[in-house]
Amino acid sequence: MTYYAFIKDNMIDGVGQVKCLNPEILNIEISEEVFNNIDHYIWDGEAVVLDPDYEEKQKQKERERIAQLHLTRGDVFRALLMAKGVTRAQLRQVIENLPEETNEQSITKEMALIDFDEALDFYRGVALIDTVGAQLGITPEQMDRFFETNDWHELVTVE
Amino acid sequence: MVNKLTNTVKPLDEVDKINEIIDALDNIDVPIRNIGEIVISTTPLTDAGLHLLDGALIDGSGSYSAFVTHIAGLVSTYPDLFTTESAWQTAVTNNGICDKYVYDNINNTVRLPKWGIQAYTKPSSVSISTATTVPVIGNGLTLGLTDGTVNAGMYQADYLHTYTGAYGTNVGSTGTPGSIIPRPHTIGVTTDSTKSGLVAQTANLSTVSLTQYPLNCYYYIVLATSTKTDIQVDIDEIVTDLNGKADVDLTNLSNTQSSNFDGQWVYSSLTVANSVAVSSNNVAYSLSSYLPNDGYNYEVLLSCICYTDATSGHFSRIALTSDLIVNYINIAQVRTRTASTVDAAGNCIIPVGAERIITFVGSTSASFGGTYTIVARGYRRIGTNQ
Repeated sequence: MTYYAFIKDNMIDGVGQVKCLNPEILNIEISEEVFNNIDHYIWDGEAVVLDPDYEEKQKQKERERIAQLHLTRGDVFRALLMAKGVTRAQLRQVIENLPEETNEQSITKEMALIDFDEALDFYRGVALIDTVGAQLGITPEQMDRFFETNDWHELVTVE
Repeated sequence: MVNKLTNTVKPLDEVDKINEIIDALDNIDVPIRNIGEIVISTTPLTDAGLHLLDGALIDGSGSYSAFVTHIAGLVSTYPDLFTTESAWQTAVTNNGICDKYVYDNINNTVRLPKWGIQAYTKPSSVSISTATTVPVIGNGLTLGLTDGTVNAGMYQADYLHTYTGAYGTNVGSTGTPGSIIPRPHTIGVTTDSTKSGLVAQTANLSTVSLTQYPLNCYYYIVLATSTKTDIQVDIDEIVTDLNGKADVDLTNLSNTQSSNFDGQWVYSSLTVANSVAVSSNNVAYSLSSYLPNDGYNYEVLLSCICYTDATSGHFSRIALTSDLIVNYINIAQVRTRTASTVDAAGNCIIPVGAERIITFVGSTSASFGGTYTIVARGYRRIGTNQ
Protein backbone atom coordinates (compact mmCIF):
# COMPACT_ATOMS: atom_id res chain seq x y z
CA MET A 1 0.00 0.00 0.00
CA THR A 2 1.36 3.41 -0.97
CA TYR A 3 0.77 6.62 0.96
CA TYR A 4 1.29 10.19 -0.17
CA ALA A 5 1.50 13.60 1.42
CA PHE A 6 0.20 16.36 -0.89
CA ILE A 7 2.49 19.37 -0.83
CA LYS A 8 0.92 22.64 -1.99
CA ASP A 9 2.39 26.12 -1.56
CA ASN A 10 5.26 24.57 0.38
CA MET A 11 2.91 23.11 2.95
CA ILE A 12 1.34 19.77 3.60
CA ASP A 13 -2.16 19.95 2.17
CA GLY A 14 -3.68 16.63 3.10
CA VAL A 15 -2.73 13.02 2.43
CA GLY A 16 -4.04 10.17 0.30
CA GLN A 17 -3.36 6.72 -1.09
CA VAL A 18 -3.55 7.85 -4.68
CA LYS A 19 -1.58 10.43 -6.59
CA CYS A 20 -2.90 13.92 -7.14
CA LEU A 21 -2.56 14.83 -10.80
CA ASN A 22 -2.48 18.63 -10.45
CA PRO A 23 0.95 19.95 -11.45
CA GLU A 24 1.06 22.46 -8.59
CA ILE A 25 0.78 19.66 -6.04
CA LEU A 26 3.72 17.50 -5.12
CA ASN A 27 3.09 13.84 -4.22
CA ILE A 28 5.58 12.81 -1.53
CA GLU A 29 5.60 9.15 -0.60
CA ILE A 30 5.29 8.63 3.17
CA SER A 31 4.93 5.74 5.57
CA GLU A 32 1.68 4.48 6.99
CA GLU A 33 2.62 5.86 10.43
CA VAL A 34 3.16 9.34 9.01
CA PHE A 35 -0.02 9.00 6.98
CA ASN A 36 -2.04 8.27 10.11
CA ASN A 37 -0.43 11.12 12.13
CA ILE A 38 0.17 13.73 9.45
CA ASP A 39 -0.72 16.61 11.79
CA HIS A 40 2.49 15.84 13.70
CA TYR A 41 4.54 16.61 10.59
CA ILE A 42 5.49 19.54 8.41
CA TRP A 43 7.16 20.06 5.09
CA ASP A 44 10.61 21.61 5.51
CA GLY A 45 11.09 22.30 1.84
CA GLU A 46 12.71 18.97 1.09
CA ALA A 47 11.04 16.31 3.17
CA VAL A 48 8.22 15.57 5.52
CA VAL A 49 9.58 15.91 9.06
CA LEU A 50 8.26 16.00 12.60
CA ASP A 51 6.91 19.39 13.62
CA PRO A 52 8.95 20.73 16.58
CA ASP A 53 6.15 23.11 17.46
CA TYR A 54 3.45 20.49 17.37
CA GLU A 55 2.67 20.62 21.08
CA GLU A 56 2.44 24.40 21.14
CA LYS A 57 0.28 24.38 18.07
CA GLN A 58 -2.03 21.90 19.66
CA LYS A 59 -2.33 24.06 22.73
CA GLN A 60 -3.07 27.07 20.59
CA LYS A 61 -5.72 25.12 18.77
CA GLU A 62 -7.21 24.18 22.08
CA ARG A 63 -7.24 27.74 23.20
CA GLU A 64 -8.91 28.80 20.04
CA ARG A 65 -11.44 26.07 20.44
CA ILE A 66 -12.26 27.05 23.98
CA ALA A 67 -12.47 30.68 23.01
CA GLN A 68 -15.25 29.79 20.63
CA LEU A 69 -17.32 28.12 23.33
CA HIS A 70 -20.38 30.17 24.11
CA LEU A 71 -23.46 30.19 26.35
CA THR A 72 -26.57 32.29 26.42
CA ARG A 73 -26.92 35.32 28.70
CA GLY A 74 -29.42 33.39 30.77
CA ASP A 75 -27.08 30.40 31.20
CA VAL A 76 -24.33 32.63 32.53
CA PHE A 77 -26.50 34.76 34.85
CA ARG A 78 -28.23 31.74 36.34
CA ALA A 79 -24.94 29.94 36.89
CA LEU A 80 -23.32 32.94 38.63
CA LEU A 81 -26.40 33.42 40.78
CA MET A 82 -26.33 29.75 41.84
CA ALA A 83 -22.58 29.48 42.28
CA LYS A 84 -21.77 32.89 43.75
CA GLY A 85 -25.11 34.35 44.74
CA VAL A 86 -24.62 37.42 42.64
CA THR A 87 -27.42 39.13 40.71
CA ARG A 88 -27.27 40.80 37.33
CA ALA A 89 -27.30 44.23 39.04
CA GLN A 90 -24.40 43.19 41.22
CA LEU A 91 -22.49 41.89 38.18
CA ARG A 92 -23.02 45.17 36.32
CA GLN A 93 -21.84 46.99 39.38
CA VAL A 94 -18.69 44.89 39.26
CA ILE A 95 -18.07 46.17 35.76
CA GLU A 96 -18.94 49.73 36.75
CA ASN A 97 -16.29 49.51 39.42
CA LEU A 98 -13.54 48.75 36.90
CA PRO A 99 -10.82 51.43 36.83
CA GLU A 100 -10.74 53.89 33.96
CA GLU A 101 -7.73 55.89 34.85
CA THR A 102 -6.08 55.30 31.49
CA ASN A 103 -7.56 55.44 28.05
CA GLU A 104 -7.03 51.74 27.66
CA GLN A 105 -8.80 51.03 30.89
CA SER A 106 -11.68 53.26 29.80
CA ILE A 107 -12.02 51.36 26.52
CA THR A 108 -11.83 48.04 28.26
CA LYS A 109 -14.54 49.09 30.72
CA GLU A 110 -16.79 50.39 27.94
CA MET A 111 -16.32 47.22 25.86
CA ALA A 112 -17.22 45.16 28.88
CA LEU A 113 -20.40 47.16 29.44
CA ILE A 114 -21.34 46.77 25.75
CA ASP A 115 -20.84 43.00 25.91
CA PHE A 116 -22.77 42.78 29.18
CA ASP A 117 -25.65 44.83 27.87
CA GLU A 118 -25.81 43.86 24.15
CA ALA A 119 -24.33 40.42 23.57
CA LEU A 120 -26.86 37.68 22.81
CA ASP A 121 -24.39 34.99 23.78
CA PHE A 122 -21.33 35.18 25.92
CA TYR A 123 -18.23 33.73 24.28
CA ARG A 124 -15.54 32.27 26.49
CA GLY A 125 -12.86 34.09 24.58
CA VAL A 126 -14.29 37.52 25.39
CA ALA A 127 -12.21 39.40 27.95
CA LEU A 128 -15.28 40.26 30.02
CA ILE A 129 -15.63 36.67 31.16
CA ASP A 130 -12.17 36.46 32.61
CA THR A 131 -12.63 39.92 34.17
CA VAL A 132 -15.82 38.93 35.97
CA GLY A 133 -14.38 35.60 36.88
CA ALA A 134 -11.36 37.16 38.47
CA GLN A 135 -13.57 39.49 40.53
CA LEU A 136 -15.64 36.55 41.76
CA GLY A 137 -12.73 34.26 42.53
CA ILE A 138 -13.36 31.93 39.59
CA THR A 139 -10.21 30.50 37.98
CA PRO A 140 -9.80 30.38 34.17
CA GLU A 141 -9.83 26.62 34.28
CA GLN A 142 -13.14 26.63 36.18
CA MET A 143 -14.58 29.03 33.65
CA ASP A 144 -13.39 26.74 30.78
CA ARG A 145 -15.11 23.77 32.29
CA PHE A 146 -18.27 25.78 32.91
CA PHE A 147 -18.41 26.87 29.24
CA GLU A 148 -17.78 23.26 28.18
CA THR A 149 -20.51 21.79 30.36
CA ASN A 150 -22.91 24.65 31.26
CA ASP A 151 -22.83 23.25 34.81
CA TRP A 152 -22.78 25.98 37.45
CA HIS A 153 -21.18 23.60 39.94
CA GLU A 154 -17.94 24.07 38.04
CA LEU A 155 -17.95 27.67 39.30
CA VAL A 156 -18.17 26.75 42.96
CA THR A 157 -14.91 27.29 44.78
CA VAL A 158 -13.60 24.06 46.26
CA GLU A 159 -12.19 24.57 49.76
CA MET B 1 -35.08 -36.25 -34.69
CA VAL B 2 -32.30 -34.38 -32.96
CA ASN B 3 -33.38 -31.67 -30.51
CA LYS B 4 -32.82 -28.11 -31.67
CA LEU B 5 -30.87 -25.46 -29.78
CA THR B 6 -33.35 -23.38 -27.77
CA ASN B 7 -31.26 -21.12 -25.56
CA THR B 8 -30.88 -17.54 -26.71
CA VAL B 9 -27.76 -16.65 -24.79
CA LYS B 10 -25.56 -17.59 -27.71
CA PRO B 11 -25.40 -15.09 -30.60
CA LEU B 12 -28.33 -15.57 -32.95
CA ASP B 13 -26.18 -16.38 -36.00
CA GLU B 14 -24.46 -19.25 -34.15
CA VAL B 15 -27.82 -20.63 -33.04
CA ASP B 16 -29.07 -20.51 -36.65
CA LYS B 17 -26.00 -22.36 -37.92
CA ILE B 18 -26.37 -25.17 -35.44
CA ASN B 19 -30.06 -25.54 -36.21
CA GLU B 20 -29.33 -25.69 -39.97
CA ILE B 21 -27.02 -28.64 -39.34
CA ILE B 22 -29.71 -30.30 -37.27
CA ASP B 23 -32.27 -29.84 -40.09
CA ALA B 24 -29.84 -31.50 -42.55
CA LEU B 25 -29.35 -34.46 -40.25
CA ASP B 26 -33.06 -34.90 -39.80
CA ASN B 27 -33.41 -35.50 -43.56
CA ILE B 28 -31.11 -38.52 -43.40
CA ASP B 29 -33.15 -41.69 -43.80
CA VAL B 30 -32.85 -43.95 -40.82
CA PRO B 31 -34.40 -47.38 -40.37
CA ILE B 32 -37.48 -47.58 -38.17
CA ARG B 33 -37.87 -50.51 -35.84
CA ASN B 34 -40.18 -51.32 -32.97
CA ILE B 35 -39.04 -51.55 -29.39
CA GLY B 36 -38.44 -55.18 -28.43
CA GLU B 37 -37.75 -56.43 -31.94
CA ILE B 38 -34.81 -58.71 -32.46
CA VAL B 39 -32.08 -57.83 -34.89
CA ILE B 40 -29.76 -60.61 -35.93
CA SER B 41 -26.42 -59.80 -37.43
CA THR B 42 -23.37 -61.77 -38.46
CA THR B 43 -21.14 -58.94 -37.32
CA PRO B 44 -21.30 -56.70 -34.25
CA LEU B 45 -23.53 -53.63 -34.66
CA THR B 46 -22.90 -50.20 -33.11
CA ASP B 47 -26.32 -48.66 -33.61
CA ALA B 48 -27.17 -46.63 -30.50
CA GLY B 49 -30.73 -48.00 -30.55
CA LEU B 50 -29.65 -51.64 -30.31
CA HIS B 51 -28.37 -53.64 -27.38
CA LEU B 52 -26.89 -57.13 -27.34
CA LEU B 53 -29.20 -59.65 -25.71
CA ASP B 54 -26.66 -60.28 -23.00
CA GLY B 55 -28.80 -59.97 -19.89
CA ALA B 56 -27.67 -56.40 -19.18
CA LEU B 57 -29.55 -54.19 -16.71
CA ILE B 58 -31.22 -51.19 -18.38
CA ASP B 59 -31.83 -48.16 -16.13
CA GLY B 60 -35.12 -46.33 -16.58
CA SER B 61 -33.48 -43.00 -15.71
CA GLY B 62 -30.97 -43.20 -18.52
CA SER B 63 -31.06 -42.76 -22.28
CA TYR B 64 -33.44 -45.71 -22.78
CA SER B 65 -36.18 -44.59 -20.44
CA ALA B 66 -38.76 -45.09 -23.22
CA PHE B 67 -37.72 -48.73 -23.56
CA VAL B 68 -38.01 -49.34 -19.81
CA THR B 69 -41.40 -47.66 -19.75
CA HIS B 70 -42.54 -49.84 -22.68
CA ILE B 71 -41.39 -53.08 -21.01
CA ALA B 72 -42.90 -52.07 -17.66
CA GLY B 73 -46.23 -51.65 -19.42
CA LEU B 74 -46.16 -55.30 -20.49
CA VAL B 75 -45.80 -56.80 -17.01
CA SER B 76 -49.50 -57.09 -16.23
CA THR B 77 -50.68 -58.08 -19.71
CA TYR B 78 -47.86 -60.46 -20.70
CA PRO B 79 -46.64 -61.94 -17.41
CA ASP B 80 -45.11 -64.97 -19.19
CA LEU B 81 -42.44 -62.67 -20.61
CA PHE B 82 -41.12 -62.02 -17.14
CA THR B 83 -39.50 -63.84 -14.27
CA THR B 84 -37.83 -62.95 -10.99
CA GLU B 85 -34.21 -61.92 -10.66
CA SER B 86 -33.31 -65.04 -8.71
CA ALA B 87 -35.03 -67.31 -11.23
CA TRP B 88 -33.29 -65.51 -14.06
CA GLN B 89 -29.89 -65.97 -12.45
CA THR B 90 -30.60 -69.64 -11.78
CA ALA B 91 -31.57 -70.24 -15.42
CA VAL B 92 -28.40 -68.61 -16.68
CA THR B 93 -26.27 -70.54 -14.22
CA ASN B 94 -27.81 -73.88 -15.18
CA ASN B 95 -28.42 -73.38 -18.88
CA GLY B 96 -26.33 -70.41 -19.89
CA ILE B 97 -29.37 -68.58 -21.24
CA CYS B 98 -32.67 -67.14 -20.10
CA ASP B 99 -35.37 -65.96 -22.48
CA LYS B 100 -37.28 -63.78 -19.99
CA TYR B 101 -37.17 -60.23 -18.77
CA VAL B 102 -36.87 -59.10 -15.17
CA TYR B 103 -38.60 -55.80 -14.30
CA ASP B 104 -37.71 -54.06 -11.00
CA ASN B 105 -40.49 -51.59 -10.28
CA ILE B 106 -38.67 -50.12 -7.26
CA ASN B 107 -35.51 -49.14 -9.12
CA ASN B 108 -37.27 -48.91 -12.53
CA THR B 109 -34.82 -51.21 -14.29
CA VAL B 110 -35.21 -53.96 -16.87
CA ARG B 111 -32.90 -56.97 -17.17
CA LEU B 112 -32.71 -58.20 -20.73
CA PRO B 113 -33.01 -61.83 -21.74
CA LYS B 114 -29.71 -63.59 -22.29
CA TRP B 115 -29.56 -65.39 -25.61
CA GLY B 116 -25.88 -65.76 -26.20
CA ILE B 117 -24.26 -65.28 -29.55
CA GLN B 118 -24.63 -68.66 -31.23
CA ALA B 119 -27.38 -70.42 -33.10
CA TYR B 120 -27.27 -73.88 -34.67
CA THR B 121 -28.03 -75.19 -38.12
CA LYS B 122 -30.71 -77.77 -38.83
CA PRO B 123 -29.36 -81.30 -38.43
CA SER B 124 -27.24 -81.98 -41.46
CA SER B 125 -27.31 -85.78 -41.17
CA VAL B 126 -28.99 -88.58 -39.26
CA SER B 127 -27.13 -91.79 -38.64
CA ILE B 128 -28.55 -94.98 -37.28
CA SER B 129 -26.54 -97.75 -35.71
CA THR B 130 -27.70 -101.14 -34.46
CA ALA B 131 -26.69 -103.10 -31.45
CA THR B 132 -26.49 -106.91 -31.47
CA THR B 133 -26.96 -107.59 -27.88
CA VAL B 134 -28.55 -105.97 -24.99
CA PRO B 135 -27.77 -107.15 -21.57
CA VAL B 136 -30.47 -109.08 -19.79
CA ILE B 137 -31.27 -107.23 -16.70
CA GLY B 138 -34.25 -108.99 -15.27
CA ASN B 139 -34.87 -112.29 -13.53
CA GLY B 140 -38.56 -112.25 -13.43
CA LEU B 141 -39.04 -111.04 -9.81
CA THR B 142 -41.67 -108.68 -11.09
CA LEU B 143 -43.59 -111.66 -12.34
CA GLY B 144 -44.23 -112.55 -8.76
CA LEU B 145 -41.56 -115.11 -8.36
CA THR B 146 -39.32 -115.39 -5.32
CA ASP B 147 -35.62 -114.78 -5.16
CA GLY B 148 -33.75 -116.82 -7.75
CA THR B 149 -31.90 -118.86 -5.22
CA VAL B 150 -34.94 -120.94 -4.53
CA ASN B 151 -36.50 -123.40 -6.84
CA ALA B 152 -40.19 -122.95 -6.85
CA GLY B 153 -42.94 -124.84 -8.40
CA MET B 154 -46.02 -123.74 -10.18
CA TYR B 155 -49.06 -125.83 -10.33
CA GLN B 156 -51.51 -125.86 -13.12
CA ALA B 157 -54.89 -127.24 -12.03
CA ASP B 158 -57.49 -128.70 -14.34
CA TYR B 159 -59.91 -126.30 -12.98
CA LEU B 160 -59.70 -123.39 -10.64
CA HIS B 161 -60.51 -124.12 -7.06
CA THR B 162 -61.42 -121.57 -4.53
CA TYR B 163 -59.44 -121.90 -1.44
CA THR B 164 -59.45 -120.14 1.83
CA GLY B 165 -56.58 -119.41 4.01
CA ALA B 166 -53.40 -117.67 3.12
CA TYR B 167 -53.66 -118.24 -0.56
CA GLY B 168 -54.10 -115.03 -2.50
CA THR B 169 -54.39 -113.93 -6.10
CA ASN B 170 -51.87 -111.11 -6.04
CA VAL B 171 -48.74 -111.53 -8.06
CA GLY B 172 -46.09 -113.07 -5.97
CA SER B 173 -48.38 -114.37 -3.33
CA THR B 174 -47.76 -117.90 -2.11
CA GLY B 175 -49.77 -120.08 0.08
CA THR B 176 -50.97 -123.53 0.90
CA PRO B 177 -54.25 -124.67 -0.51
CA GLY B 178 -56.77 -125.77 1.96
CA SER B 179 -57.16 -129.05 0.18
CA ILE B 180 -55.43 -131.22 -2.31
CA ILE B 181 -55.50 -129.83 -5.83
CA PRO B 182 -56.87 -132.54 -8.02
CA ARG B 183 -54.68 -133.78 -10.82
CA PRO B 184 -52.23 -130.84 -10.83
CA HIS B 185 -49.50 -130.42 -13.41
CA THR B 186 -46.24 -129.05 -12.10
CA ILE B 187 -44.08 -126.50 -13.84
CA GLY B 188 -40.61 -126.08 -12.47
CA VAL B 189 -39.06 -122.59 -12.61
CA THR B 190 -35.57 -121.72 -11.67
CA THR B 191 -34.59 -118.04 -11.56
CA ASP B 192 -31.20 -116.50 -11.90
CA SER B 193 -30.11 -114.89 -8.60
CA THR B 194 -27.54 -112.62 -10.33
CA LYS B 195 -30.16 -110.63 -12.16
CA SER B 196 -33.05 -108.40 -11.16
CA GLY B 197 -35.61 -106.15 -12.75
CA LEU B 198 -37.29 -106.62 -16.08
CA VAL B 199 -36.17 -109.06 -18.75
CA ALA B 200 -35.67 -107.19 -22.00
CA GLN B 201 -35.81 -108.28 -25.51
CA THR B 202 -32.29 -108.80 -26.70
CA ALA B 203 -32.36 -108.41 -30.43
CA ASN B 204 -32.68 -105.69 -33.10
CA LEU B 205 -32.39 -102.57 -31.07
CA SER B 206 -31.35 -99.29 -32.90
CA THR B 207 -29.70 -95.98 -31.82
CA VAL B 208 -30.03 -92.56 -33.47
CA SER B 209 -27.51 -89.67 -33.49
CA LEU B 210 -27.88 -86.11 -34.87
CA THR B 211 -25.11 -83.87 -36.21
CA GLN B 212 -25.47 -80.04 -36.08
CA TYR B 213 -22.99 -77.24 -36.87
CA PRO B 214 -22.82 -73.95 -34.89
CA LEU B 215 -23.41 -70.52 -36.54
CA ASN B 216 -21.91 -67.37 -35.02
CA CYS B 217 -24.50 -64.60 -35.03
CA TYR B 218 -25.35 -61.67 -32.78
CA TYR B 219 -28.79 -61.19 -31.26
CA TYR B 220 -29.73 -57.60 -30.54
CA ILE B 221 -32.83 -56.10 -29.05
CA VAL B 222 -34.19 -52.74 -30.23
CA LEU B 223 -34.20 -50.28 -27.31
CA ALA B 224 -35.22 -47.25 -29.34
CA THR B 225 -37.95 -46.89 -31.95
CA SER B 226 -35.51 -45.39 -34.40
CA THR B 227 -31.79 -45.46 -34.62
CA LYS B 228 -29.57 -42.42 -34.90
CA THR B 229 -26.28 -42.03 -36.55
CA ASP B 230 -23.31 -41.35 -34.35
CA ILE B 231 -23.28 -37.76 -35.55
CA GLN B 232 -26.93 -37.30 -34.63
CA VAL B 233 -26.27 -38.72 -31.17
CA ASP B 234 -23.31 -36.39 -30.73
CA ILE B 235 -25.32 -33.37 -31.87
CA ASP B 236 -28.18 -34.38 -29.62
CA GLU B 237 -25.88 -34.58 -26.63
CA ILE B 238 -24.20 -31.30 -27.48
CA VAL B 239 -27.53 -29.51 -27.87
CA THR B 240 -28.79 -30.92 -24.58
CA ASP B 241 -25.59 -29.82 -22.91
CA LEU B 242 -25.73 -26.34 -24.43
CA ASN B 243 -29.37 -25.80 -23.56
CA GLY B 244 -28.69 -26.77 -19.99
CA LYS B 245 -25.54 -24.69 -19.79
CA ALA B 246 -27.23 -21.55 -21.03
CA ASP B 247 -29.75 -21.63 -18.22
CA VAL B 248 -27.47 -22.16 -15.27
CA ASP B 249 -23.87 -21.63 -16.29
CA LEU B 250 -22.35 -18.49 -17.81
CA THR B 251 -18.74 -19.57 -17.52
CA ASN B 252 -18.68 -20.74 -21.14
CA LEU B 253 -19.36 -17.27 -22.52
CA SER B 254 -16.82 -15.82 -24.88
CA ASN B 255 -14.89 -12.67 -23.94
CA THR B 256 -17.11 -10.61 -26.22
CA GLN B 257 -20.27 -11.94 -24.65
CA SER B 258 -19.04 -11.66 -21.07
CA SER B 259 -18.19 -8.00 -21.62
CA ASN B 260 -21.93 -7.33 -21.81
CA PHE B 261 -22.39 -8.20 -18.13
CA ASP B 262 -21.54 -6.01 -15.14
CA GLY B 263 -19.01 -7.43 -12.73
CA GLN B 264 -19.42 -8.21 -9.07
CA TRP B 265 -18.60 -5.59 -6.45
CA VAL B 266 -15.08 -5.66 -5.04
CA TYR B 267 -15.07 -4.17 -1.57
CA SER B 268 -11.70 -2.50 -1.14
CA SER B 269 -11.11 0.60 0.97
CA LEU B 270 -8.67 3.31 -0.06
CA THR B 271 -8.23 6.94 0.99
CA VAL B 272 -8.29 9.18 -2.06
CA ALA B 273 -7.75 12.44 -0.14
CA ASN B 274 -7.80 13.23 3.57
CA SER B 275 -8.01 16.72 5.10
CA VAL B 276 -7.20 18.47 1.85
CA ALA B 277 -8.06 22.15 1.75
CA VAL B 278 -10.85 23.09 -0.60
CA SER B 279 -9.55 25.12 -3.51
CA SER B 280 -10.62 27.48 -6.18
CA ASN B 281 -9.40 25.15 -8.91
CA ASN B 282 -10.30 21.53 -9.64
CA VAL B 283 -8.04 18.85 -8.21
CA ALA B 284 -7.69 15.52 -10.05
CA TYR B 285 -6.80 12.19 -8.47
CA SER B 286 -5.64 9.02 -10.20
CA LEU B 287 -7.33 5.72 -9.35
CA SER B 288 -5.02 3.68 -11.59
CA SER B 289 -3.45 2.02 -8.56
CA TYR B 290 -6.89 1.14 -7.21
CA LEU B 291 -8.79 -0.14 -10.24
CA PRO B 292 -7.78 -3.02 -12.54
CA ASN B 293 -5.83 -2.01 -15.60
CA ASP B 294 -8.07 -3.80 -18.12
CA GLY B 295 -9.53 -0.98 -20.13
CA TYR B 296 -13.05 -1.45 -18.75
CA ASN B 297 -15.11 1.32 -17.24
CA TYR B 298 -15.85 0.94 -13.52
CA GLU B 299 -18.34 2.17 -10.96
CA VAL B 300 -16.63 3.38 -7.79
CA LEU B 301 -18.38 3.77 -4.43
CA LEU B 302 -17.15 6.92 -2.65
CA SER B 303 -17.75 8.16 0.89
CA CYS B 304 -17.13 11.91 1.32
CA ILE B 305 -17.10 14.49 4.09
CA CYS B 306 -16.38 18.21 3.97
CA TYR B 307 -15.59 20.70 6.78
CA THR B 308 -15.94 24.43 6.84
CA ASP B 309 -13.34 26.65 8.37
CA ALA B 310 -14.17 28.60 11.54
CA THR B 311 -15.33 31.72 9.77
CA SER B 312 -18.98 32.50 10.06
CA GLY B 313 -20.64 32.51 6.70
CA HIS B 314 -18.10 30.29 5.04
CA PHE B 315 -19.13 27.14 3.27
CA SER B 316 -17.53 23.91 2.19
CA ARG B 317 -18.61 21.46 -0.48
CA ILE B 318 -17.72 18.23 -2.25
CA ALA B 319 -18.64 18.06 -5.91
CA LEU B 320 -16.98 15.47 -8.11
CA THR B 321 -16.56 14.61 -11.73
CA SER B 322 -14.63 11.90 -13.58
CA ASP B 323 -13.11 11.13 -16.95
CA LEU B 324 -16.54 9.82 -18.01
CA ILE B 325 -18.91 12.43 -16.59
CA VAL B 326 -19.43 15.53 -18.69
CA ASN B 327 -20.54 17.75 -15.79
CA TYR B 328 -20.21 17.21 -12.06
CA ILE B 329 -22.28 15.72 -9.25
CA ASN B 330 -22.86 17.34 -5.85
CA ILE B 331 -22.15 15.09 -2.91
CA ALA B 332 -22.39 17.34 0.16
CA GLN B 333 -22.33 21.04 1.10
CA VAL B 334 -22.41 22.89 4.39
CA ARG B 335 -22.15 26.49 5.66
CA THR B 336 -21.27 27.67 9.13
CA ARG B 337 -23.14 30.53 10.77
CA THR B 338 -20.81 30.81 13.70
CA ALA B 339 -17.12 31.06 14.23
CA SER B 340 -16.99 27.30 14.45
CA THR B 341 -16.40 24.55 11.94
CA VAL B 342 -19.25 22.37 10.78
CA ASP B 343 -19.23 19.38 8.47
CA ALA B 344 -21.40 17.49 6.04
CA ALA B 345 -21.12 13.96 4.66
CA GLY B 346 -22.40 12.21 1.54
CA ASN B 347 -21.67 9.34 -0.81
CA CYS B 348 -22.01 8.41 -4.44
CA ILE B 349 -21.32 5.75 -7.05
CA ILE B 350 -19.40 7.43 -9.79
CA PRO B 351 -18.47 5.93 -13.19
CA VAL B 352 -14.76 6.06 -13.97
CA GLY B 353 -13.28 5.48 -17.40
CA ALA B 354 -10.06 4.09 -18.76
CA GLU B 355 -8.05 7.11 -17.60
CA ARG B 356 -9.05 6.27 -14.01
CA ILE B 357 -9.50 9.92 -12.91
CA ILE B 358 -11.87 11.50 -10.42
CA THR B 359 -11.78 15.26 -9.85
CA PHE B 360 -12.70 17.45 -6.90
CA VAL B 361 -14.55 20.47 -8.26
CA GLY B 362 -13.32 23.75 -6.78
CA SER B 363 -15.08 27.05 -6.23
CA THR B 364 -13.81 30.59 -6.72
CA SER B 365 -16.18 31.94 -4.08
CA ALA B 366 -14.47 33.98 -1.39
CA SER B 367 -16.62 32.17 1.15
CA PHE B 368 -15.36 28.80 0.10
CA GLY B 369 -13.21 27.47 2.92
CA GLY B 370 -12.48 24.28 4.75
CA THR B 371 -11.25 20.79 3.97
CA TYR B 372 -12.56 17.57 2.45
CA THR B 373 -11.97 13.87 2.66
CA ILE B 374 -12.78 11.25 0.01
CA VAL B 375 -12.57 7.53 0.63
CA ALA B 376 -13.23 4.78 -1.94
CA ARG B 377 -15.08 1.81 -0.52
CA GLY B 378 -15.51 -0.47 -3.51
CA TYR B 379 -15.78 -0.85 -7.24
CA ARG B 380 -17.23 -3.05 -9.95
CA ARG B 381 -16.75 -3.35 -13.67
CA ILE B 382 -19.31 -1.93 -16.07
CA GLY B 383 -19.92 -4.50 -18.75
CA THR B 384 -21.97 -2.58 -21.26
CA ASN B 385 -19.25 -0.26 -22.47
CA GLN B 386 -15.61 -0.93 -22.87
